[in-house]
Amino acid sequence: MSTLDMPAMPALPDMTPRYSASNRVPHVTWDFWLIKLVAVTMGETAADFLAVNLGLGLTATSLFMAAVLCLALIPQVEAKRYVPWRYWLAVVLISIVGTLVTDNLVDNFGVSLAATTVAFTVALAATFWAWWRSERTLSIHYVTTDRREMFYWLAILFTFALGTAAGDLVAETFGLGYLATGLLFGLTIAAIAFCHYVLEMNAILAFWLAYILTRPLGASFGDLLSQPSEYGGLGLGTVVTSVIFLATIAGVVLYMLATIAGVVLYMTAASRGDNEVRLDRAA
Amino acid sequence: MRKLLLTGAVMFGAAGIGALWTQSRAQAAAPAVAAAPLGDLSGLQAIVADVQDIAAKGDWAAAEARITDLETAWDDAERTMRPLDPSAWGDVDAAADAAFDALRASVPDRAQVDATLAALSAELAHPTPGAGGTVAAVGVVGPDGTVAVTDANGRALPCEDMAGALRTARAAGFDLVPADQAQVDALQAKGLERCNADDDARADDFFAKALTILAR
Repeated sequence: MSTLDMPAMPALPDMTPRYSASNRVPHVTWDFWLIKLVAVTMGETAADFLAVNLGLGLTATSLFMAAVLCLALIPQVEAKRYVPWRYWLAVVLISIVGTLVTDNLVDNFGVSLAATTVAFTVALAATFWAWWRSERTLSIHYVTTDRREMFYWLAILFTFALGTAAGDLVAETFGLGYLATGLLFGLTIAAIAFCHYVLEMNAILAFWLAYILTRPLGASFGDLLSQPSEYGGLGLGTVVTSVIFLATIAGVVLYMLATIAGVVLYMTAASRGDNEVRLDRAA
Repeated sequence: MRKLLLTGAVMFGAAGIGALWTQSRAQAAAPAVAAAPLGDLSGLQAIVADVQDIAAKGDWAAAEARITDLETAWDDAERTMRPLDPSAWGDVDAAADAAFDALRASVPDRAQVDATLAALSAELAHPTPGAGGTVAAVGVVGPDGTVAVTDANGRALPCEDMAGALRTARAAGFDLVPADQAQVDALQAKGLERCNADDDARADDFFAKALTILAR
C-alpha cells in the first residue's frame, strides 16, 4: 500500500507540559475592576446581615468571618494558578474582614477614623516594603509563589481596611451625601488612571491606589442605590440593590467565561488548519 | 501554608464562639439585673395579692391585719435589701407606706385602697433600678428612665450591640400591650435598617426608644 500523500498539517501548538509557575491572580482588565467593585459591596451587605440581622454582634461576626476567610484561602493558595471562583471568593471574604477590622477598631476600641486611616497606610506601606525586600518585584503579574501570594493577600487585606477607614472619614468629614461622595472617589480614580495612561505614572502604584479607592467608591454607590430617599439615596432597598449587583457579577463572569471559551475555540480551529472557520473572539 | 490557614481558622472560630458566649451572658445578666435590683420579692408580692383579695370582699380589718404581715416582712428585709439598691428600695417603701395609710384610715376609701395596692404590686413587680450598684451594661434603662446611646467617651455605641441587647430584652418576655408591641416592632425595624447603613447614631436612638418602652 503506497503511502498516501497527506497534506502538510500545520504544527499543533506545543502542548508538552513544561515547568512554569502560573500567575495566581488575574490580570487587570476592565472586567476585573467591575467585578471587584461589585463583589466587595455585596460582601459588606453580607457582613451587615450577620452582625445586625442575625444578631451575632460586631466582635463575633468579625472573628467568624476571619475563620471563614482562612478556610477560603486554602483552595485559592493550593490551586497555584488563577481559578476565578476561588480567587473572587477570597476577595469577597477578605473585603468583609478588612472592613470589619476597621469597624472593630473604630466602634469597639474607640480609635478615631483619622488614626485608623494613618495606621493602615503605614501597615500597607510596611507590607510593600517587606514584599519588595523579599521578592524584588511588586508586580501582580508575577505572583507565582506561596510567599508572593501571602504578601499579595496581606496587602489586599490592608487596602480594604484602609479603603473603609478613608471612605468613612471622607463621608463623615465632608458630609456630601452618597452621590457626591461617590463622584469624588470616582474622579480621584479617574485622575489616577489619567496619571498612569497619559503621564505614565508607575503601573504598580496606580493599581494599588485605585484598588484602595474602589472600596469606598463601591460603598458609596451601593448606599446611593439602596438608602431611603430621606437619607439621600434612591430608595431601592438592600434587596433590589443586591439583586442588581449579583446580576452584574453573573454577567461579567459569563463574559469572562465566554471570552476564554472563544479564545480556546479559535486556537483549536487554527491548529486544525480550518482557515475558513475563524471563530474569532466576539468583538 | 495550609496548616497555617487551618490553624488560623480554628483560632478565629474558637475566639468567635467565645465572644458570642460572653456577649450573651452579659446581655442575659443585664436585663435580669435591671429588673430585679432588690432580688426576689415574690414573697412580698404574694402577701399583696392576698390583701387585694381580702380588700375586694370589703373586710377592712382582715386586710389591715394581712398588710401588717407585709410591713413586718418588709421591715425585716430592710437591712439586706436597702443596700442593694437604695433608690429602688425607697420607691417600694413609699408605695408600701401609701398602701398602709390607705388601709389604716378610719374609713378606708375603696378606690384609694385599690389604687395604692395596685401601685405597690406594680412596684414590686418592676422596681426601677437606681444609680450605683452594677455597672450599666448596654441597653439597660438608667435611673432617669432612658437608655445610654453613647459610651463613656461620648461616641455612639455600636448599633450591633444595642440591637443584640434589644433582642435579649424582648426574649426576656416582658408583658407588652399590643400598642406597645407594635411600636417596639417598628422601632426595631427602623433601627436595624439604620444599623445596616452604618448609621450608628440614628440606629442607637431607635433601639434606645424601644428598650425604654420594654422597661416600662
